[in-house]
Amino acid sequence: MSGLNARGDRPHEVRRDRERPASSPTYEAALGLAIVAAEGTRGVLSLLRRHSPEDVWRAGRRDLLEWTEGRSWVDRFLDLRSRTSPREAASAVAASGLVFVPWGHVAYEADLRALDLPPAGLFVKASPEAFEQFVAGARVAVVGTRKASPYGLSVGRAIGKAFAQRGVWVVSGLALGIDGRAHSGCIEAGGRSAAVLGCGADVVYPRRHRELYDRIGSEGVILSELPPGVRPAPWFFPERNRLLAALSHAVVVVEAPQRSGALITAHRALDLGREVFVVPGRISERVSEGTNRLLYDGATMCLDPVSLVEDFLRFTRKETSPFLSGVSDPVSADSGENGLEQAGRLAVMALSAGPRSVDAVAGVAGITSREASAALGLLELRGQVVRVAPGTYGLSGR
Amino acid sequence: MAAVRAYALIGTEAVAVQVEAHVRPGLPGVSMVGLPGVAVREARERVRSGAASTGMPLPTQRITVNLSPADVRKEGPGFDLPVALAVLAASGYVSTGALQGVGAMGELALDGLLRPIRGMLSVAEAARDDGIILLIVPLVGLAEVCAVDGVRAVGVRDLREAVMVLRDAGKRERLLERGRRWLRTRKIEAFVDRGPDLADIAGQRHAKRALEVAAAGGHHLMMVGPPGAGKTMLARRLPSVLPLLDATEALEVTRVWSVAGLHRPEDGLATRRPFRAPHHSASRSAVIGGGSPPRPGEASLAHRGVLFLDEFPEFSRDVIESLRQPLEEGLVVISRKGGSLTLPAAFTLVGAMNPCPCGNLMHPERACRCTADMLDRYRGRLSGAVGDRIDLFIDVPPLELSAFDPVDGRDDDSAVVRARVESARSFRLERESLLSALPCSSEEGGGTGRSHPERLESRMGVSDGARSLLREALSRHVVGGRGYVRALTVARTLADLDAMSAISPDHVAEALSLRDPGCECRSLVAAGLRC
Repeated sequence: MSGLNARGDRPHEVRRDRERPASSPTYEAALGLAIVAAEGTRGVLSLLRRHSPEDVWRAGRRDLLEWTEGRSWVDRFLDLRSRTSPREAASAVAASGLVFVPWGHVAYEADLRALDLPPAGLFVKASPEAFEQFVAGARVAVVGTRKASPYGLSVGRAIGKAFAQRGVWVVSGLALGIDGRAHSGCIEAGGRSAAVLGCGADVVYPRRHRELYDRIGSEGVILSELPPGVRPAPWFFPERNRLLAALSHAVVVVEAPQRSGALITAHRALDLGREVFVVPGRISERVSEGTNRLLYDGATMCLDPVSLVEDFLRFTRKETSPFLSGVSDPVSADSGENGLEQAGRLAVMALSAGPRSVDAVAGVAGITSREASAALGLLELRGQVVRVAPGTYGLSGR
Repeated sequence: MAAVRAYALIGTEAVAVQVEAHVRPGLPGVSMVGLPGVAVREARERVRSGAASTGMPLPTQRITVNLSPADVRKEGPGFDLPVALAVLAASGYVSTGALQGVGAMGELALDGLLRPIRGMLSVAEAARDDGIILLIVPLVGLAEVCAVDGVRAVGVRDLREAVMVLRDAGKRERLLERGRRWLRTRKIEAFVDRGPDLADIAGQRHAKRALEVAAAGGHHLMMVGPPGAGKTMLARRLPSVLPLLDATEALEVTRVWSVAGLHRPEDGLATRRPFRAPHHSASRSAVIGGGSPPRPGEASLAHRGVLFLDEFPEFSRDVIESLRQPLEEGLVVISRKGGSLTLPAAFTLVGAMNPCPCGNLMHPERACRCTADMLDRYRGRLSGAVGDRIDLFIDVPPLELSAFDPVDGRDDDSAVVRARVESARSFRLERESLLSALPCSSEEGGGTGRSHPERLESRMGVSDGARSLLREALSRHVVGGRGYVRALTVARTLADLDAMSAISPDHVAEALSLRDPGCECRSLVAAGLRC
């Protein structure tokens, strides 16, 4: 696969003005290509590395066959192209409330042109200021499995928070599990988050993340290379993952089993020369098989969220200023509940060696089962312990 | 014409039926009118053979049997004996005057022997209310019938003895005396089998404690744990820690079981609280009752006992929703085109489920292959009116984990736990009777939606520390409105177990650990997000 230096030759000039009129030939050609690519001839995107969108959009059959050395999709592309009207599509995009950022935008210069199949454009749901900051800012992808363990979920959230506190954009895929937790951790800490979707940027998927989608859409950036209204499909997600990797300066994988989408993101990031950070997991857990394998293969280990952010800033040489001082610790235990507090302290000590059942906590701490039950109920309420398995409590991350 | 009293079962109630017989010249045969069911119609043949075997052949004349009221459908073989007595009286074997104020029930064998029938307890109660002077019953059923106070019943072995009772006062007294003797010896022999004991289970103290709380407060309970963790074993032992059946409850239980044909009549009254565990493939009418004629379902069979639904989410939505009425009102109403029928169904619901459809979610060694959607749907079965009435949720850890728990000393057996449960219940009664003396108690009752927290808390007797803990749980969204009420009522039960009139923070904290851990994943609370 090609590395970073693939951006070498540049056959046409990149225009940097954002206020490109919607009717410009490049805009229309890029929009047309984005639509046709989404409909099945993704191969045409490879031509963008050597030719301008206008050239590709207007190219005749002979040119295309010559440029592609006779690929089979050429005729299908010509057919789709003849049935696509960029002008109509432009008004559809406007109606959807999204902005189409075409090929040639400053966002492409470093990040997207290195891809084998660069997107012809991005459909963005964001305020112009937010998108500008997103393009200019430091960005980290935090990804992982949808079926995460409680450990993974809490670590994902803590990492989202830590990056937010240093003003780094947290980019993820809005999926259930780690993705959602990274987004929400970032937002809760007052940071900015971006979601790269495997469906149209105006489609809320998964539905359960409606609230999260709305918050990211209003404060951060939601983007996709798929035209508005496109429903999610399994084959879109690996492509989405390559975009996620390309738009980020580094990737953090929190929990991923073998053959996980998060691993695709990590490998695409490695192909692009990005740094990959990995959160270590327990060797007995299926959700840690993929991440631990990455560590074995030499990925950088995440020791804890804070040093992870330090490593990220050092590796990427990104200068950022924290736009927010840390969130104060909400835990302020009242005194005056002596027996219960004492049982709680003993229970925490009993859990320090690892998760245990209620009865086991009682045995180790030397308290009765019901004292342990009450103490764990209180500790869970205060967020100090979590249930990690049926009937089993463990200490929460931090 | 000769007439005798019989009783028809409608649900768990028996209604009086007058059985009349008339003999007149005509083509020989017995015709039966008055809406007899198939089994009642067939009584003709059993009566004819039974009478002949007893040496009283029916006259070769036209015999008409009428069952009144004519618009109540009569079912079952219990009409054999009354029909036989009426026919024999009409034929002159017994004087018609001797049948005055006499009731009878029982199924006839072809040789004249009498067999017990379903619902004898209900019949005995109806006979008492009907003012019957003498009830003739199969001897085997005497124990069940005599459980009803105020019934003069004579147990007979066969049709011959039944006729003797009516013909000869001396014989009647001898048979009554035989019955009393028989009951006395049976009582000595009867030993009380309480069923499986809590002490049979090693460890699982957390779950045992939950059983104790459920028994003390009458809370419904849900157990979540992987296959093989011991959920069924635990559930089976809940009846043994519930208070012993009192006289009224024993009558209620026996009535339902007898009508369903599951009660052994020679046992007299039921002594054990029922435990019913229908399979998850059970239909709505199997669980709630139904059929034609309607019979009690599992919900009614579990009356005053435990209804255990293993694999709770696997039950059809229809079945789960149908449990709403019994959980709210303690009874089921079966509506059919012929009218509606009310059956008792006050039970403690115990549900058991796996943490996920495959059972391996978060198992220390096994891998779960369920998708997030599957989990959602599985857990979704718990929501709704029925799930909302389950106060206690406990996790039952897999055996691999609990086997390594340090065990010191012996755990309490069922009798010890039951004593605590009974004292908690009596403490509660005392507390509530004090409370009802206060003027504000007229506000109680009704849906949870009307309970103002302050009023609820003052009725429950919440200490300051407990109140602030509850407030903290509310403000951190650990519990919502319903969860708050549930946590409060469970905390109240915990305080009752300690015989304390004020709920302490410990009670609240323990109640919080016994609540529904929520969907998707238990750490959502810690992560500060709901899904």
